[in-house]
Amino acid sequence: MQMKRRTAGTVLVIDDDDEMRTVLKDFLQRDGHRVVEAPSGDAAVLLVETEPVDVVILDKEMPGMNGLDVLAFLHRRFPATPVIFITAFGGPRVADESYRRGAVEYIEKPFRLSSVVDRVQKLIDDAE
Amino acid sequence: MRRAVGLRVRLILVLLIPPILVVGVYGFVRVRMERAELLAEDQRNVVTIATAAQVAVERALRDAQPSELAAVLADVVKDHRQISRLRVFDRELRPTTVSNPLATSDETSTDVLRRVMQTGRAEGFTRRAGKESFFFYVLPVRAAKGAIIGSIEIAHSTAAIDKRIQNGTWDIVVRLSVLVVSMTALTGIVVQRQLLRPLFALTEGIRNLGRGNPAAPLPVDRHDELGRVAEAFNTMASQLRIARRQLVAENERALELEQQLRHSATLAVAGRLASGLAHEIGTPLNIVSGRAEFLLHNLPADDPRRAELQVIIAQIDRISTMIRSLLDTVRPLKPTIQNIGVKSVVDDLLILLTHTARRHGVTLDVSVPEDLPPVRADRNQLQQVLINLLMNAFEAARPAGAVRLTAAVASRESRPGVDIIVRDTGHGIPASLMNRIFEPFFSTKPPGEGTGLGLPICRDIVKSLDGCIGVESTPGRETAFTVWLPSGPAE
Repeated sequence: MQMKRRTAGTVLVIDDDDEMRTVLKDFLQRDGHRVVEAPSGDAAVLLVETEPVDVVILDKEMPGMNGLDVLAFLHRRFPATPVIFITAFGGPRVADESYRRGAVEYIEKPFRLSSVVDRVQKLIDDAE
Repeated sequence: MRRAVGLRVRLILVLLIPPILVVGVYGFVRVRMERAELLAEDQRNVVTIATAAQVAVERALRDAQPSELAAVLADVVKDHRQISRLRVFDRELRPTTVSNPLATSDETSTDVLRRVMQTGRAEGFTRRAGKESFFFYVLPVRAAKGAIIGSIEIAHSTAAIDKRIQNGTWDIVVRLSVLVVSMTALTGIVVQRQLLRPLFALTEGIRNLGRGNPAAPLPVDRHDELGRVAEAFNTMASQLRIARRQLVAENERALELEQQLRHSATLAVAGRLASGLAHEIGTPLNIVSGRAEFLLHNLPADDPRRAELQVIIAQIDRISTMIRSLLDTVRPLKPTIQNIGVKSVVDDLLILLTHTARRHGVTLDVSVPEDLPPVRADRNQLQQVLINLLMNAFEAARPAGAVRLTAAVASRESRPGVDIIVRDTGHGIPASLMNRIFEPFFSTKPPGEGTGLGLPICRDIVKSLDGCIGVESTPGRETAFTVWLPSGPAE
């Protein structure tokens, strides 16, 4: 179809909000990606051990394990896997912190889903 | 005013009574002496005349007819105006010849006449007769053989002398009065000009100073004690002015600081509220715009519903922009973490803290050693932590308690650092509330007074500085908050 040089990948979406996860999933699946969901940091940490992923979309505010801690863990465990860190109106301090802990991208909610999906696509393409 | 008049009267009395007494006594003595001298001289004259009259009378009795006696007496009286009367008495003490009758009295002092006749010695005496005073002198009259055949009495009025003495006395009284009046006036004027007027000026100056008016300096144009008083007063007034100005400036500075702090505290609270709210609505907004976007992508390019979805997305963008600009205003500036001396931070706050402590009626004791190692912190944030803790302590310790701020070197988990302890003798924190005091929006103050964010903000700041905050409390006795901050490596 229209996706000529488009590579599909596996994207892990970590967010405690079901609706948020679903809307991200709908967008990503529409572009042909496979989406794995985790409703919390703890679930995500377990999941990544069995599920190979290409890109991670990680929300900061979650009950249990904090997004920043998950980010640090992922960066240590899978340094090659790019993580897009998202949070609602985090501000420059959170941005700073997320880059220091290994995020490749920091995006504030509310964002344009199309731009995030484009970004995911680019990361997958780059990894090829 | 009454006191000033009193001073004047007292001064006049003190200055005038001794000279008046001296002059008065001197005048009195002078008058008495003069009178005595005049009388003595007068009496000597009288004795001389009397002796002459005695000779004339004896000669007339011897040589001439006794009938010529009257003419002889008249001659003596005529030549000597001082003589008021001459009388000649016979052996039986009867007046035989009288020069002229005296206006007042013809009484005879028979005792004196008899004594003179017996002894043959002349005798003088003074007697008042009516209003006048008279000097009487009595001499014996002898016959050629020496036998006493009678006596002669000469009367002399002392009216002239009395008159002179009276005039003299009046003269002294008048002079003395003039002296008293003029000295009183002079003393009054001198006291008024030299003493009272400068004193009034001083009083007025003191009164003005007391009312808080910037009194004009007193003129220092004299080099005496009052000049020195005026000088001392002026010095004092200017010192007071300076002290007052300093106090006002200090108060203004304290108020300004307090306002700044209140402002930054308000901003911190507003920031916390705004970011909390923003955080909560960020995800739902994203879901709404994401769904709209999803629909938009699935609609054909010519579908009229696309425009409506675009409106939804644009409005979400608008809301996001508004929230971001709100957050930009209230979000605290990026902290500058550096090596900071706890002492210097405390010193900067000291004016504000003592001012606030005084307003709460609380004593504040600050003992922060000079030689503490510096801590790694942001100056403003550390200030905010200290102020929040101290304000709480003041509130707790009022109305008459004590608050103590100390700092000491302390290691935590083998990391070097500094403990900053704020201790108050307040009512303590009940054990049941102990684990809630750092919760946001938890406050024991009446609604509207506490935000319930002071301690949470402190905790957040201390945590962001890699430090820790703890509390110990004995209910009913005291509470101590301890902030530990790591000390930085030497720069």
